[in-house]
Amino acid sequence: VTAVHVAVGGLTHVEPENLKFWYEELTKGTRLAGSALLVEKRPTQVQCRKCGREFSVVANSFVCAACGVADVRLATGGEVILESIEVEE
Amino acid sequence: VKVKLGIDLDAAGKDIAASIRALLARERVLALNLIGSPGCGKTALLEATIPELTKTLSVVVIEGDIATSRDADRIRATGVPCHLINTGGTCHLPPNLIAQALQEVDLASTDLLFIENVGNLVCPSTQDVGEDAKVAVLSLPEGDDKVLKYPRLFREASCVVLNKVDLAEVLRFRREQLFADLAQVKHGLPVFELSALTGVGCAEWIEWVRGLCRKKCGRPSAPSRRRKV
Repeated sequence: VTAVHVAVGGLTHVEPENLKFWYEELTKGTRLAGSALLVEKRPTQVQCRKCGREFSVVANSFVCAACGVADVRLATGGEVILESIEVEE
Repeated sequence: VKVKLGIDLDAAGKDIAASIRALLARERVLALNLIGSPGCGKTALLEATIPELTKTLSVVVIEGDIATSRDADRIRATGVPCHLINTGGTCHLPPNLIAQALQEVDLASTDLLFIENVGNLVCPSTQDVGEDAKVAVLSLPEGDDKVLKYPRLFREASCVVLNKVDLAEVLRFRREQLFADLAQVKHGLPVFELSALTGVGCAEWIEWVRGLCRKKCGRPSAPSRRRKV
């Protein structure tokens, strides 16, 4: 394995640099040693319950620009997903 | 070669939370997860309102603390069963510990389960423990700026208990700041402004809890039967 791709949502409290640090520590002496952990922090995506508009949350504001109200359904934001790995044959 | 996986790294936790939710649905038990800072008055809120709630509902508390049985002792003094989880340092109650604790709770004779989480505004907010609702408990001495500093909790919460309102004047708490920030994070979140110490405002909170119980377990409709059929 040469690389591991992880995606984390904007609402998780996962800090990419911290995750990389511990990945490096924990993989020492294992078959994953030396592989790169690539963390993609994804924006929190929501959908307005009133008008259906989808938007990204910026600066923790969940207010819909069209409706002026923070009445939204969370689409993504809380996830931590192992997306893919890269392997050498 | 790139191998696509798409594995949810929190799947195990989510599975446990889902099984707890199914169990509580079967047993018709309403579970409220109280989350707030150390000292915000989570235990005090329970102490102040359990005597009224137990007039119509049978209540059980799961108490989460890093160390000591101090909070659990206070809850037991109110007369309701309390299951203590000492996490030994872990900053929140994970779903597996809740599932374990529930094995020792007599769910058949319980209407309402309070889960008092470890005092912390951060980690407990990210953990689904199978509860029906998360309750954000905030107290005035913590400041009026906390909603946007800890947005996840207020996004996840189904209501806010604003405790220690009897101190509003001396603390110069900007109530309008709190409400403006809440409006930015979640529309329509009920806020119960109360003082667990003086009892002011507690009636509205109790009514809200009873309303949820009525929906989930059909009670209180009559005086508690104590044991469900």
